[in-house]
Amino acid sequence: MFSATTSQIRDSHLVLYLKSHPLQAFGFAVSIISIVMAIIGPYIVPHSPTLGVPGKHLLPPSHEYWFGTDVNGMCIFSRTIAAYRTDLVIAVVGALMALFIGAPLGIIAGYFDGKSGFWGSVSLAILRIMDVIQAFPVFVLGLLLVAAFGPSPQNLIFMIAVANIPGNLRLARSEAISLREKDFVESARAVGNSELRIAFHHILPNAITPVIALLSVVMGFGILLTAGLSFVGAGVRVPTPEWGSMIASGGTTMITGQWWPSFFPGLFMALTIFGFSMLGEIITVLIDPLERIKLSSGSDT
Amino acid sequence: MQILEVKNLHKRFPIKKGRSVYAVNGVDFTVEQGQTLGLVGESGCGKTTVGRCVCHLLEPTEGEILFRGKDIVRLSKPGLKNLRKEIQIVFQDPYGSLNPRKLVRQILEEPLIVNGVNAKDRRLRRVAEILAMIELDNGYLEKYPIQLTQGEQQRVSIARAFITNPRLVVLDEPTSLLDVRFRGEIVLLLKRLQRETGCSYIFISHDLNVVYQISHRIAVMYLGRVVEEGPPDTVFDTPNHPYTQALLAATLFPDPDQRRTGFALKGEVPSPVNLQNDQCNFASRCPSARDVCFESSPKLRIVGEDHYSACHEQESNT
Repeated sequence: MFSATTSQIRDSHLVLYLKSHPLQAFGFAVSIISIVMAIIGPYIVPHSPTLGVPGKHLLPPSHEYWFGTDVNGMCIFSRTIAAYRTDLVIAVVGALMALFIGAPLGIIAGYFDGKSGFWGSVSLAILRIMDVIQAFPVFVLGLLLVAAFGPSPQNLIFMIAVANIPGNLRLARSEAISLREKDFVESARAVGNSELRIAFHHILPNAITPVIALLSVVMGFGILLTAGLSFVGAGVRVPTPEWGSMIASGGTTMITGQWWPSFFPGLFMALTIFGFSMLGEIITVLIDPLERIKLSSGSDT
Repeated sequence: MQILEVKNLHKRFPIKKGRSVYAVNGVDFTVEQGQTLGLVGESGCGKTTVGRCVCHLLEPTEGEILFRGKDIVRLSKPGLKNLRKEIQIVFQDPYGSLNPRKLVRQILEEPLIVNGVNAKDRRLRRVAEILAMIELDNGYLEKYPIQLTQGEQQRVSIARAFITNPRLVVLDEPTSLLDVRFRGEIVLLLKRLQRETGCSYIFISHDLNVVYQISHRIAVMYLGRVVEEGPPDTVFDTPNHPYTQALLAATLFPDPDQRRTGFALKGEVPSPVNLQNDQCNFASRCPSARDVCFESSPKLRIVGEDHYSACHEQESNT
């Protein structure tokens, strides 16, 4: 099904798009670097990201320590790079879980909205459960979960997923509600598609674009939430390199003039979130047949 | 031989506070094998609702729909699946009725997949066959609907309807959203497909010219009822019902010598909400309405050879 030719076509669309959109191209590069860093980061750093050197605490940026050292004498550059893995894994897995659970449930909730029968009741039940989840402020929900199950990356992933399922779901649902009135859905019914097949074969591909666009936002949000929870001490514990906890530990020294422990992880976090939001935009464009045709015919410029 | 018989079809859509929209109020008609029934009337007269009931996309409130002698209103799931192959529908909006995310090939393959044609090469053979029938070349298979012209989009919709070899196709205003230049070719295509496959059509439209060209029989609808029925020539040359006369008077025919007499309709179609059906529904706009028109609802009765009309005026004349 996915032969070499189709991937070549996709690639050329991507290249065409990036050539005419420099900001997106920059974001794309940042995302690719982030992903590469998440894979190889811990192996290429100059110093150990988890071991402090006694007597070398709070050194300013220098030749040896590019981003300086923190209160524990740990190399901030090494920690910032190694943190890619922690933050990205938590955010990406959390966001993907939210997408893969939220979107299909949203399609069901939307397509069968207001109908009678089994799926109609399922639709109603899904919405009520979402109301319950959304009644909690996300951060408080996160603190509760961490208090109940202890701080660990797995719990953070679970948290990000749970916190973002309602958003994904409602977006997919509203798309499904507007799509189900379309003639092509009626045609699909007329040729003999079952209701579930219509929902997942005809509605889902058309409803998914904005949900995928949301994915990047959710990832950015996931990084922020991880950082936020780590900041208050409920996320990743200190020797593990993680941007949020690094920013938090640098907060105390900020007022005495040592800005570097917080600044660099903050900068990298901001760059990464930007990169992913651009990536989301690129994906939205490339999965739309209309945009792809525009790109290859060159009428986009 | 009759392929479809609709008896006393009613469809009401419930709205708020226990009220209902009376979309179809007792429609009877038959469709002969290999022939076309033209269903005409203005917007909101219920012609589309009739079409969707026939395709089992809506469930009638009352009445019977006999397809090849069997009632299809209440069907079991497997029975319905078989029926889907036999009765197909083509919609008005050529772009809207094609899934924008699917290639033409996927759109055409789908009815075969759902109907259990599992061998891919068999499906592709059939797709190629149907593509030849609608006069598109194989290059169109890997295109998205947005890349086609309106006429080509409508051809693909028609191809999707014909791919399972249906015996009856409901054409729900298939030409009314098209540019004029595509209209003619779609009508010709539909006529040719009918000759080649021998299937029957219900052609729903408000364009009397197109209906005249394609139909073997015409039923004029007003407010959920058939008011006049007969062969196209008879209905067009000697319209009996005042509504048909008004409809024809409002139509422009591409013939400068043809002058039609009639009157312009005044006022609006009455609201179909909680329609009583105890009077002639057209009486409020009819220039020749008399007391009897407000007292009882006229039935379809024969007014000429194979020509039926539902008007009190006619009763008093005979």
